[in-house]
Amino acid sequence: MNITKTTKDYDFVLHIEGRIDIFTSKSLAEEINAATENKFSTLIIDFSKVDYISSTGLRVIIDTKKKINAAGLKFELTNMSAGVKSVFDMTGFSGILKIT
Amino acid sequence: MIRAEKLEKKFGDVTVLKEINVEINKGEIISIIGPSGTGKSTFLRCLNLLEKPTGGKIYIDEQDILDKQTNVPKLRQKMGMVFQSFNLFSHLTVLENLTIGQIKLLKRGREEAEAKAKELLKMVGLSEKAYSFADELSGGQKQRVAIARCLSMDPEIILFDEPTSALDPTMVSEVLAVIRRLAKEGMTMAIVTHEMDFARDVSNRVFYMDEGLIYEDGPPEQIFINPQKEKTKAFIHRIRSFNYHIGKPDYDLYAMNAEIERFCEKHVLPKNMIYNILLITEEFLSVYMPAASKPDLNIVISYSEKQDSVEIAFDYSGYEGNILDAPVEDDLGITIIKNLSASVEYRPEAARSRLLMSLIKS
Ligand SMILES: Nc1ncnc2c1ncn2[C@@H]1O[C@H](COP(=O)(O)OP(=O)(O)OP(=O)(O)O)[C@@H](O)[C@H]1O
Ligand SMILES: [Mg+2]
Repeated sequence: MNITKTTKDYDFVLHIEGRIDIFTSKSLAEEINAATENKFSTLIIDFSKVDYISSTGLRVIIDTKKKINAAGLKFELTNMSAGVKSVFDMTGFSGILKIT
Repeated sequence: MIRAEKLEKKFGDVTVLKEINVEINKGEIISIIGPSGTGKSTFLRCLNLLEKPTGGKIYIDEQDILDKQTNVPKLRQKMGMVFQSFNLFSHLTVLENLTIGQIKLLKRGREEAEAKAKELLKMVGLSEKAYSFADELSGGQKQRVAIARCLSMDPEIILFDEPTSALDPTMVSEVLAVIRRLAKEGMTMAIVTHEMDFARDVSNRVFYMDEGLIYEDGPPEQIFINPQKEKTKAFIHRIRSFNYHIGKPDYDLYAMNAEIERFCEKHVLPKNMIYNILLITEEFLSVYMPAASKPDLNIVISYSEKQDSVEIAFDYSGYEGNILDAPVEDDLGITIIKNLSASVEYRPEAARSRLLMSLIKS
């Protein structure tokens, strides 16, 4: 898994590349934590290059959402492939996350 | 119904069948599988005395068929045989092919024989070919006629020796459909076949032949999913399924995934299905690995072309009970597993547990 960061206006975007699984979720969590040190109004995770996510990845995402919302900021997920999106759907996460 | 005791067959000093001890019961549908040259055909041929055994005994309904007193032709009529090559009389019509044996051997009248023949042709879906000559038929049609001919003799058991291997792939299913139908009607059958999906879903008993023996004998779930003996395992593994063993806590997910993907690609599974297989496997592992005292897990993924489905079996020890009921932080992983599987079945066994999931190709 590989992560790059870009900013645009008040958005902070994390572009993830690769798999989010039991072994990579931990570093995803660390990268996100580091990213939240920055100033932004919306944190966006770009899934366009994510080809796989499992429940461990979902936990990282949902923890992030809680933290960011608690700080009064916004959190968005974008560009999911059908396979990745289906995992959010079947667990009911699509309903509580902003997925664009 | 048929019992072989210490059945032996040598060709010169080559022992092909070493010692076959087996009983075939009425109503059983037996698939006989195994590597080439292990005596599958020889075994069937010995049963109906196309080959003379060099040792042992064969009983049919408690009658010793190797006994000189026995009326062999009469006993042989109880056993039909269908070969890879159809062995029809090409210069006779289909109807004649089906009546000749009835008239000559069963001494039936022509009318009765023809009525029976027509009824059987209907059953194999070839009513309109009654007056065609056998050599005007396609391979699949010839084989269906051969099966009908066999049935015309009112056999108590039919022995099939690779009934579909000489056929063009497009014709395999029509022949298998006829055999399936016979199975439904309760016909006793022994079928040597390389069609593993068929063997697995049509039969209620499987013989794996190797080393001149019926090396392993069991229900299809045993032979195809959880074979007990070394050579059966190796054979099944080669043929149709993916097998991966995890015996320590630090397993290599990526090496395993790469192998799963290779297996799936070999069977031309669609991308979303591969995704789901990898996901189920990971979700299982993330519950099982922390829960197991001493991880010992066999993952078997098998693809059934017939049903267009994939079955994943997790066969494990080190945790007692159903992994899906294991105490976990949240039920995310389990929700994913249940969502992706068309069915989930838990089968506890003596020392191990098995969790079976099936996925439908969509
Ligand atoms: N008539 C014969 N004379 C000599 N050897 C024979 C004869 N028939 C069969 N064999 C030998 O016996 C062995 C078993 O043959 P058999 O045809 O029974 O195997 P099989 O399991 O049916 O193989 P396959 O899957 O290729 O059909 C082979 O080594 C074969 O060469
Ligand atoms: Mg053979």
